[in-house]
Parts: sequence; structure tokens; C-alpha cells
Amino acid sequence: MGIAEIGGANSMGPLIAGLQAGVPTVDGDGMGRAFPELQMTSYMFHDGVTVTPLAMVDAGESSAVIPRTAGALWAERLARNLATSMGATAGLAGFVMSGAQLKAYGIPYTLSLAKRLGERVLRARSAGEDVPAVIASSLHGQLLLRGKITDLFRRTTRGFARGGLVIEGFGRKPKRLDIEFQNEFLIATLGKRVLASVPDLICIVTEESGEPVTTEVLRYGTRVAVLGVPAAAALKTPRALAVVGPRAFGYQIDFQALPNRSVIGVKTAANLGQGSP
Amino acid sequence: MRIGIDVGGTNTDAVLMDGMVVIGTTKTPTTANVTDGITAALKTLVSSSDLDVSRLDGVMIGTTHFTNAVVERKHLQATACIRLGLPATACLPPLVDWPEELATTLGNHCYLAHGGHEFDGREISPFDSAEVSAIAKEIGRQGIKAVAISSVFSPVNAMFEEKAAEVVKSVIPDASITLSSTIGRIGLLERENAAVMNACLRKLATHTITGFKAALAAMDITAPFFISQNDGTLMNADFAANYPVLTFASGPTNSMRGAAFLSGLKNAIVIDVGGTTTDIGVLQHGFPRVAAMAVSIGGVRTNFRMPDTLSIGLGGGSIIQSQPLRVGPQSVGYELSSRARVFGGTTLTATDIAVAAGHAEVGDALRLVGLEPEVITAVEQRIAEMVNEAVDRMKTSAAAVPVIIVGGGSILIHHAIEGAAEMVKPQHYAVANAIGAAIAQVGGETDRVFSLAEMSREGALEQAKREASERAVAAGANPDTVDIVEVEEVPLAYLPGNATRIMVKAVGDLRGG
Repeated sequence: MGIAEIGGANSMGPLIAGLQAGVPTVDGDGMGRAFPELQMTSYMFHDGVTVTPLAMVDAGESSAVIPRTAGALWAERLARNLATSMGATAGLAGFVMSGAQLKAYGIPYTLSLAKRLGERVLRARSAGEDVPAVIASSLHGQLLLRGKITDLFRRTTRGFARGGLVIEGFGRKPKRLDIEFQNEFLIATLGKRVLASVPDLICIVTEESGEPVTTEVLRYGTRVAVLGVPAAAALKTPRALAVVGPRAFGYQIDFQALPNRSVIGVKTAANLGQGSP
Repeated sequence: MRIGIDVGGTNTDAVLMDGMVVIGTTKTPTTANVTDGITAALKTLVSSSDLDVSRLDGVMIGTTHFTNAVVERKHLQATACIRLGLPATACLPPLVDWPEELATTLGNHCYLAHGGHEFDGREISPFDSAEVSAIAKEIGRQGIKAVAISSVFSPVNAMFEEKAAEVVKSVIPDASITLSSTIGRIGLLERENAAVMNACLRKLATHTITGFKAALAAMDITAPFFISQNDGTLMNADFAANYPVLTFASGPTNSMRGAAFLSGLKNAIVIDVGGTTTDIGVLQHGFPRVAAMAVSIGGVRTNFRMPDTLSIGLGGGSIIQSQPLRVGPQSVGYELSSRARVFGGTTLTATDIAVAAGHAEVGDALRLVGLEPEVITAVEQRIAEMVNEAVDRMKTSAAAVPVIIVGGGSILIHHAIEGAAEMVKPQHYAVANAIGAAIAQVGGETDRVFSLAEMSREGALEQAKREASERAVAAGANPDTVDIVEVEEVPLAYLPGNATRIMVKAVGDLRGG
């Protein structure tokens, strides 16, 4: 059993399905983060793997199989429509591939990375450590800003919740960070300077306890820490950037990677939090 | 004229108000059965103000009694929870993430049945009254009298919850039933948790409200009485007996509303300095800014709207260490009057520093002779830094805002707070909670998902506002005075039909003064 996307519940579902089916689940996934669409998986940045044949089920008795599509983007469109009809949530399985392909095209060790990060955060909380700083250093990321949300706007475009927020830093001469999102946080700018953009991860957590703040719970006044985390190397190839880089999301800029070497997809993540980036 | 009463964990505070003027205040220890403390407070207030009780227009009570019952796992009724939504949701049954001993206290009676709706109002599966009837019979056989009913997306369509209630009522006529759609917001587990907590408190609520009524009757008070809700508004006594869970967090909210009233400010930072912690909140248009994230009560996940407060470890009893310099977070707490140096104890506390610096006159200042001036200065500076930093965190604009300081430990704050346009220490701040209860209005809220593909945004807003207003009137508001105080729209990600969640709060004056 493989995991398509390590984000949120999508990391747990395959694990449970694997246990129920009696097969092991591979420690790894196809994104090393969360992204909204099926063609954004690392398996799709190579020839030889297709999303279809694709199976979908809902919570009731409905199921569907899509044997073939004209490419990953078409599979995403059809699957999205089916999921909506199924009540806005559906289980999905596809991306059939060989072990060799999974090894070559997947992003390994992300399940154990998630587990170790969670353990580190829980330890940091009970020890009263600075949790956002712990998360940043564990993931070789940067604390871009600590501040409060001072502006927030949302609009629906083509079924996705798009919007933006402004975070003002604490202190006498506060810095001001602008962040835009389309379900996921896409780009963070300080004035005209882009601090981080997709495919690198922009993570917003609560300032006090390092709890993730997703786009739906953003509120005026919430105190947050914004982290920039380097994405897995597999997301930064030219072919990958054509699908998950800033231009693919409508920003007319070239991708500028965050400086540190990513721990996502790297076996030495076993030493989470130790050693320097 | 009104009496506001705040039944806190330690003290019961009461105020008598004539319009906007505070006539009398009193503070007595809270009693185990709460009613005696209220009676004592009322007696003191009435006699000290020479009050003719027939002139009272209302008595408002804010209490943490029901929150405490959940937190302490006391006086809770065995409760059954029926969730309508099969075949969906089976992997996470009701009470799945409750602390084990609390779920056990309630008896762990959980049932799943068919029903529920999708986000757009489609049925997940048809309602099956025979199925619910069988469940109700099983519940009845076990002698359970408190039932909570939840259905998937019931804020969008509550019909199945209502049908299930009818079935349960016909099988167990004396059951008290709580529908999740009447108290909760979007978010199945959190809404269901709120419904279960409400159901298990119904017996205690009825008993407590009856006790309050008796206390008032014993004083010949015939004015209507009301209970504070978590958002600073009131509900009438009978409504409160059915919805005890709506009283959660009314204390902190009343405290901030009381501070707003006493200072005459509607937009300000409120700093409440206690014995161990200082809580900082933000007032917007007279109401506390609410927190974004889910709130846990007694270990149970809920989505009640609670005031957004930042708590720091600074209070009157904070223990001072001079080398290296530390102010708190350890505190002598309620033992201040025996352990602080000004009161004859041996622990150096923040209160001692305030007295040594000449900012307060309590205890015996002579006991502080020998305290080095450098220590006093350093501690005062650290306290100022802690407060400035906390206020900076809560402010949402760089502009200076007024700051209201309340609480017994407010003697600690006398420096000019950075970013404060003015600093206000209102009179009667020690009973700000009771005042908040007394001045409250009556409110109603709605939280629904609308599909803007099927109705215009204006139409959806109109409907939401109408529903919120109707709820305010149902809770006791005078329809002519009802105003919309808050509207929030959140477009829902990944969903078609322009699904939008609209939350509206309406508030009005009490009917009949």
C-alpha cells in the first residue's frame, strides 16, 4: 500500500486500509506535503506511471472505477466531480506501479518523519520549549515571522477558496508579511521580496503551542508563527516545477528555493533535530 | 433596577444597579450548593442598599457551576447519545475521544442509526423510525432519562433530529432530550460533544435553577431572572434549564463586558490581574474577541466560542526570585495573606514589591525593610516588560488602544503600558463579573451552510439574520430592539455550488425592562 499525500488524514487512511487488506504500507508518499490536486504527485513527474485505473468509493454503497483518462489532469477533473457528487468526500485508490517505480519516483520516509515530528512537538510542549522554533529547526526550516493576523480576505473562485492574509510582527517596528492561499498557503512576501513560495512549504502554527492553523480557521487577531520549510528535492525538478511551481499557481515569478537542504524524503531524518542544516 | 450575581469558584459577587449606576456591591464565599451563597449575597445587598425588592426589573446570574460539574465529573446524569448518519461516520462513534473516566461516568451509551445529510442538504440515507424506536427501547430498558441526538450536518437540516426526538419521546415520555442542532455549530464531533454534555447536565440544571428560584422567592423577589450565556448575553431561566451548556465561559465574558461598561469603552484591551495569572483579552464593539481554535472543556473537544485570552504567569502572589531575576510563574495563590512578607510570611511576592515601591498600602510595609532598592526596580521593570509584551501580542493594529485594568492584582500595574492610548482602572473592578451579568442583553446565534448557487448572497444573509433574530426573541429579547452585532462568512474550500458558512449573532434588550 502506498500513500499519495502525507498531509492530514490522507496519511492515516492508507495505513488503515493496508492493515485491513493485510499488506504493509510503504513509508513514504507522493508529495512530502499537502497539495490539492492528483497531478501534483511526484509519481506524475515521470513517464510510466498513470493515475488510472482509479477506484473511488463513498461512505455508502456507491463505487466507481475510471479505467483510463487522457492524462493526470483529466483524472483529477473527473475524480473531483465524482467526489463532489459523493457528498464532498470520497476514498480513492490508483497510481498502480511497480516497487521499482515507487522507489524511484516516490518521496521516502515521510510517514516516519511525520511521526517523529509529532513526538518532538509533544515533548517540546510538555517541556515548555518554544514549539514553533522546534518545528522550524526539526524540518530545517526558517521562522519567517511571529505575529498576529491583522487582515484577512477570502473569495471563492472556481470552487477553491482563494484568499490572502496579512501578519504583523510583534515589537516596535513590526514587519509585515503578506500570504496568499488557495486551500494551501502558496506565497509569502515581505514588501516586494518573496520569502517563500510553492513548492516549498509555508506552515502557519499558533504562536503559543505550535498547533497548525489551516485556512478555514484563520481569524483576525490570531497569534501565529509562520514557518518556511524546504520541500523535497523531487518537487524542484524542472518537470515538477511546471506543475507545482509558482507559475503553475498563477504567479509570474521563477521559483527561489529556501536555502536549507530539505529533510523531507531524506533518510537522515532519523536524526530529527540533531545536527545543523 | 437590576441585580447581577456572579457565582465564581471562590466567591459569589453581587451588584445592584439602577440603570447605569452601581448602587451597591457585595462579595461572599461561594457555597457548595451555590444557592446558599446567592441567598447570602442577596440578603447583604438588599439590606445594605435598603432596597425595596418590588422595584427590581430583573436578576441576572452568571455561574461556572455547570462547567465545574463537567470538569470535576460531579452531578452528571447517565446519558445516551444517538447519532444519525449511517452508513457514514461509523469509524468514529460518539464519545470516541472523550477522557475515559468521563465517558464511563455517563455510561458510554452510544448508538448509531441511519439518517444525516450532506453539506448541500441531500440525505445520506433515509430516516428509519423503527430503527430509532428499537434504540429508544434499549435506552429505556436501562433506565436512562437523558438523551442527546446528533445528525450529520444538522445545522443545514435538523429534520431528522426532530423526528428522532419524537420517537424517543413516545418511547420514554419523561426523557430530557437535547438536539445538537439547537446548541452547536458546524463540526460533527464538537457539536455532538456539546449536545452530550448538555444532556448530562439537564438534571443538575433543573435542580439548580429551581434552587435559584427558591432563593429569590425567599427574598420576595418576583422580578424575572436570567442566566448568562457564554457570549455575554442572557437566557431566561427556563431556557437555561434546557441549555446549561450555554453557560460555559460566561465568567470571563462577563468580566470583560463589565470592564467595558465600567470604563465606558467599547474597544480596548482588558488586563485582568489575578493572584497567579494575568489574563489579557480584547474588547471589540463591547464584546470579547473570540478565539479561533477548538476549545477543550474537561478534556472534551468542543467548538464553543470562547473569549480569546492570553494568560501569563504574573499575579499578586507571584513568587519573586532575585538571583537570577524571576517573577513567577509559581505563585502563593490564595495563601497570599499568610505567605507574603507584608502579611508576616517569608515568601517575597509581587505584592510585596508593589508595597515596597509605594504603589499599594496593604499589610505591614515595615516587614519589607532591608529589601534592596535594586531588586525592587529590577522586578518592576520585569513586570512592565511582561505586560508590554503581552499587550503587544494581543493588539491587532499599531495604533494606540485604551487599556482597562481590573482584578485584585492590578496594584502591580502602574507603569505606562507601551501602545496604550490611556489606562483605566475603573471603580468596582473587583465585581466586574457581576456587573457584566447585570448589563447583559439577550442574544441569538445562527451558524449554517448556504449554497450561493441556489440563493443570492443577500438572500442567504437575510435568512441567517432572520434566524438569529428569531432565536434572540425566543430567548427573551424585545423584538423591537434586536440588532445584528456580528456577521461572519467563510467560503468552504473544495465544495461546489459556492457553499458558504454564515454565522450571525443578534442581540436585543430584555423584554419588559
